[in-house]
Amino acid sequence: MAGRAPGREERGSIGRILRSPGAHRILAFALIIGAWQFLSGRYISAYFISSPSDIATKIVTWARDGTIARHVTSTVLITICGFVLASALAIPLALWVSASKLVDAVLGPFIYAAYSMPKIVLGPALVLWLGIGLLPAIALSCITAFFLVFYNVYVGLKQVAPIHTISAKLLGATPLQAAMKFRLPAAGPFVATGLSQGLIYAFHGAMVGEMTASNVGVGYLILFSGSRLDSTAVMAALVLIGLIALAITLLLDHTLGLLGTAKGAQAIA
Amino acid sequence: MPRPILAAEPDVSRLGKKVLSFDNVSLNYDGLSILDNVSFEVERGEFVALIGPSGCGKTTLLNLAAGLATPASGTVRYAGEILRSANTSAGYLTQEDALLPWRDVISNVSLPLEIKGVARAERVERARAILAKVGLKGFERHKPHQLSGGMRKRVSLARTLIYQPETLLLDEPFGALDAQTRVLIQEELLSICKDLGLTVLLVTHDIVEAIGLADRVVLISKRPARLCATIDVAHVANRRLSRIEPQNERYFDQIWDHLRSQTGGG
Repeated sequence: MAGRAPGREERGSIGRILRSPGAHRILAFALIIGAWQFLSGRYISAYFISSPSDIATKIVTWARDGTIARHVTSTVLITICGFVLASALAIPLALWVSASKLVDAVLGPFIYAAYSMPKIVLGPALVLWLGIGLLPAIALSCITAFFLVFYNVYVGLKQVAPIHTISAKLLGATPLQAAMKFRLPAAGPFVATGLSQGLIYAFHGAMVGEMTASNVGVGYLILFSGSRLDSTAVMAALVLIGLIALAITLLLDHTLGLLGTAKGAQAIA
Repeated sequence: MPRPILAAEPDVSRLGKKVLSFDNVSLNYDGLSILDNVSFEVERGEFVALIGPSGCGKTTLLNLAAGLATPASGTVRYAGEILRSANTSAGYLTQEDALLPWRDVISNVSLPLEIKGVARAERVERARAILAKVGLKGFERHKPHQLSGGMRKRVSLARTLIYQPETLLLDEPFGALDAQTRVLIQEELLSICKDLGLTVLLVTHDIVEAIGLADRVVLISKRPARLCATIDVAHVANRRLSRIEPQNERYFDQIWDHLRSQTGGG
């Protein structure tokens, strides 16, 4: 029995694997990388597009000499700090503004004006105030993420059924209890969307901050590489940025999936 | 069959005779006059029903009693003191579902105690006891969406009673229930209220409900609301809540004629 040639069933299952989407993805990826490697240096100058082999070598070099450790860690740190700070500010503010018509009318327009500002132009001002390094990048990351968290949570809180705020009052809940036990849970999907958008934009803000006001981070790395006309390094840095972005997206998908929240919940971006 | 009395009865001694009093209360909203010099009182242990045409301001009166609104003129007193903020001594039951959909039954019911800072073990024990009293033993872990309308109403009632309020303010709480469930819950409610000596102010459209549950029925006019009449029904027992018994038909007619006179002609 041992050593038989594959029967019909085994051939079928191998065939199924070969026909699966995963196999097709690997094939497509291999074809693109292969074409890229082939064209580079032969038909398109390596200066413009570098090559997969060079990029891979560069990444391995960076892994060995601590470049990845240093810059990726900085970027992750900046992103997380920016996100946490933004949420810590935005959620209480959203609670306050949505609860009071007066505060909403007074502060609303200012918040909206600030939201409309392109964040990148804040770079020079932040350097003035905070110097060059992690701080201005964290500030920029925080500012960018803030509005995403704020507006999503604000909208979510405004759509909470009035009966819940009334119940909270009649049961003698303090404002904190009302927020934690009634209002924020009632705005659940919006809070989840706000936080996930906040994290994504904290990363975007971190990139802008690193490219305008920092001396560490993958954003800085790409700027630095570009200024030295090192296209391989630029591509390699792009790969790293792409991987971080992908990691964030997958993390959010997984967390939101665990919470059972609809991914298509109303988002403001 | 004698009804079991709940674990601990509310302390009504501080209330005095008049629990709730409206004194020449007027209220406007957006330039419209909603209440016009309304005065009436609810005594301790009394069950008063407010009946009037739709949109007349009955709910506004209830909100005033709950401390959710303040009058433009006149005073609203609870236990002799003018209400300045939300009335946390009164239980409030509305037609809308006030249950928190993300919490299960037992944590919904124990919510008032949670807010007061009662320890977890005691909260759960008291919640279980009150759920058993309203006939929902075994449903502690269910989520509200898994229950029927009548069962959700019982949960709401349990949540209202768990912190032993002295007074109940009811805003057409059973309007959304089917006729059979409604009658059953009304009977339970009446029983509980009498057992505990609760003071109740009920706003309703349902004349049978008003006559069947209340000691006194207060008739309100159309907007701007004024007091039109008060009918004493305490002395007649309409024990069946499913219909009006012969001896009470004249009260039914009186109320119905009043409502019709208030609704006809816009």
